[in-house]
Amino acid sequence: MYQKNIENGYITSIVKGVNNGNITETEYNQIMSIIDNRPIAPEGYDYLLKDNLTWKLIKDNIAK
Amino acid sequence: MANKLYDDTSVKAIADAIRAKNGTTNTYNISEMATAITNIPTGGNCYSVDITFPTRLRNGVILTLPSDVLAHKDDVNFLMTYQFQGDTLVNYRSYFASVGNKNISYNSDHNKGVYYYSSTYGVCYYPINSTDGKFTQEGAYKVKFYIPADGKLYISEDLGAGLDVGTYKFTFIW
Repeated sequence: MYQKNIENGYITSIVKGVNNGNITETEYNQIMSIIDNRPIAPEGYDYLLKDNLTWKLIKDNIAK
Repeated sequence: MANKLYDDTSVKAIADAIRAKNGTTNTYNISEMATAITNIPTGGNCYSVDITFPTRLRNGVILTLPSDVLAHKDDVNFLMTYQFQGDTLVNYRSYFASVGNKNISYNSDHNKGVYYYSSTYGVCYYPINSTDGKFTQEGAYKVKFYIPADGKLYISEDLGAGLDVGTYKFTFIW
């Protein structure tokens, strides 16, 4: 089974192999495909994945 | 061998029980069930999932845990391991950590070990150092995993890398 976790309108994780799923395999594969084609953020920025499966560019002010 | 008729609800219940024990989503023919049951680990419980993060996660929800794992999250022997599934050694991390009421830390310079909690965001020592096998003091980055009343596993981090973009295998053992 598959699971999607959302916080404040953004997808924080998707999970495979759970006992308590909340999305279908089709939706999981769709999200994985979007993650695999993640845009490259400029230095000092990062992308968040919104629940509507679009990316939002944000300023990343925490050291990596 | 004689052929018999069985209620398919009962057969599905057996398959569901197998999946609950081995933590998989596998489907089973009746002929495969005996082997699947034999292969279920004994002497402990284990729940293992693949988690993919679309964005580097420093603070937020990692996983919504099922009730059978949550029932043991405060057990003294409850452990969590997590390992990045990527190709690069730079991002390879494998840790054993106590969750629940205990805070754990990791050092981004090391890729495996057992972590011992000493204090919140304080110094943390781990007995296995992949480089020299000695006890080593915690580094600059500190991360906390916790499971509050909502039954979700969270990460909370002071400064540092968090969980990278990509897929990790998280395993819970009790």
